Amino acid sequence: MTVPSDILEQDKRRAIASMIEQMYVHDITLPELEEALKHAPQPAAVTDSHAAASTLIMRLAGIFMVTGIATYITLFWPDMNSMWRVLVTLGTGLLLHPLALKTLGHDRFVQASTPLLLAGMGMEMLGFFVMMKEIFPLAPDLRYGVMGIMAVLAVQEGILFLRHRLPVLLVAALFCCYGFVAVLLDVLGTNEDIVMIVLGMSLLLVAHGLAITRYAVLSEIGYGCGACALNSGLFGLTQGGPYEAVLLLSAGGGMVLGMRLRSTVLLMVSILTLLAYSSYFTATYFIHTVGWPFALVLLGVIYAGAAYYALQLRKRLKA
Amino acid sequence: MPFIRMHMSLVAGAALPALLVAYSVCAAWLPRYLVDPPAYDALYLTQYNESSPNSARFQVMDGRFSLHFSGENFGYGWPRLYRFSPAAGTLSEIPVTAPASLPVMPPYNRPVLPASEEKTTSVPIPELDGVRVDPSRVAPDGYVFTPGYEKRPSLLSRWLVSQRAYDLAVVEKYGYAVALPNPDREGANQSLRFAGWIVP
Repeated sequence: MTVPSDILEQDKRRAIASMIEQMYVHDITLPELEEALKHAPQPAAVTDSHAAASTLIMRLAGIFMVTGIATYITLFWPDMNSMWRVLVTLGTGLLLHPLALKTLGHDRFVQASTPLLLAGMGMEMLGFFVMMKEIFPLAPDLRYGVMGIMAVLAVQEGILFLRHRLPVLLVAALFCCYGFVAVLLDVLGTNEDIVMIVLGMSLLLVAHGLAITRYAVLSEIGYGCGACALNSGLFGLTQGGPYEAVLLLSAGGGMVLGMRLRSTVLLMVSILTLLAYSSYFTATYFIHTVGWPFALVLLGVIYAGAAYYALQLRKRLKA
Repeated sequence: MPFIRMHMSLVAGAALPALLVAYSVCAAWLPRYLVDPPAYDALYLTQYNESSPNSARFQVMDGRFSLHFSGENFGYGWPRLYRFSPAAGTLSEIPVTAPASLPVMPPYNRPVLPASEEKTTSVPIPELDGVRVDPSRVAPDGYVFTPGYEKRPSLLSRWLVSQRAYDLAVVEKYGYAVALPNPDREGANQSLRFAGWIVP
């Protein structure tokens, strides 16, 4: 829909009249205005209300399309045959992924590329899993299939990352690599907790390595996931045994490391681990004693003290 | 080399899982070459449900395997009996047939009897006459029977893989495991019931 030219002309005349009025009010001369125009910075982008409305409508259209596909899949899943199930999941993924890659070269779609890439990759992975389940419904061990899917997607995302150098593609490639290794170790019969500990430590190291590269924005995600995996693995391995308190050391180490590396996420995960373990420990060993509520109050005081200390430390670091 | 020195954390982060995979591969494969294969045949049943009425129950006493049918024969409640030779990798089914004194009868002809008065009929198994069975889980050569349900699937496998992968019973020794084939895994009562080791 185009705006009639006489309306645009009216707007322009009104703007000129307003400018003349302002010039009279502030006693601005024409040479002064010319000089000011010469030195005024160029506006970054001219955004008119029509373009903004168009962007909004496009986003709404995208949301409606994705919601429509998701609702269709949810409602009619039991009535679909195998081929149709594969088509709506893998087909959508294979359609979205190249579309997302197509948007990478255009400045207009720069904001759309990341969500499109994530949605495309997610649907593609889901589609592969659906295909595996539909083709081999009675397979005794699907882990080999999962390993194959993870390997293929890791190679695909790795190649795409090497070509486009986007952080989201690096996250996808790392996710598939770690997924492949985790399933491989499960097939080999390695203890799940040991796998979690090693993969958690590996993630922490990778996040530390990424902090000095141009992908530093990903290091916080890595620190968070790594610390969660490491602490849950340590807890699973030592739960109920004499070495259970190792988790406290890990959480304390994480707090120190979080402060040294200035990582808010690592600090937060470590504090939450400490809080969760303290709650678990007191609930397990002191729940039927009068000491438990007192222990909870004491813990509250300790955490308040820790929070105050952290604030003081932050002020000192800022100074 | 400068890249490795500059990105030591990234290299260490990639090396850690690789080392664990290498160690796990060694731990899974080396016992195949270092541990002797199982020497004794395993005897086990599938489709076995001793808790339901009108079904067969086995017993191993004084080294002799015997099967008894409790109640009336309505055509169900019969297990399948297998002998697996891990050394040769062969599985043979031992036929279990209802004796002539226990004909199949329609359910509506069932006599109303209290459980304590249910009749018990001995089921002869000629293939096992003179065969000595050791009912303990540990074989004389050290191999241990482990039912599948004792294994705990990992968090990732619980999300990605069905529970069926973990219903696999094995005999194992020092990390070397031999899976016991179960042709009835997909049916009802799919778990395998170990009866014992066939010993000389």
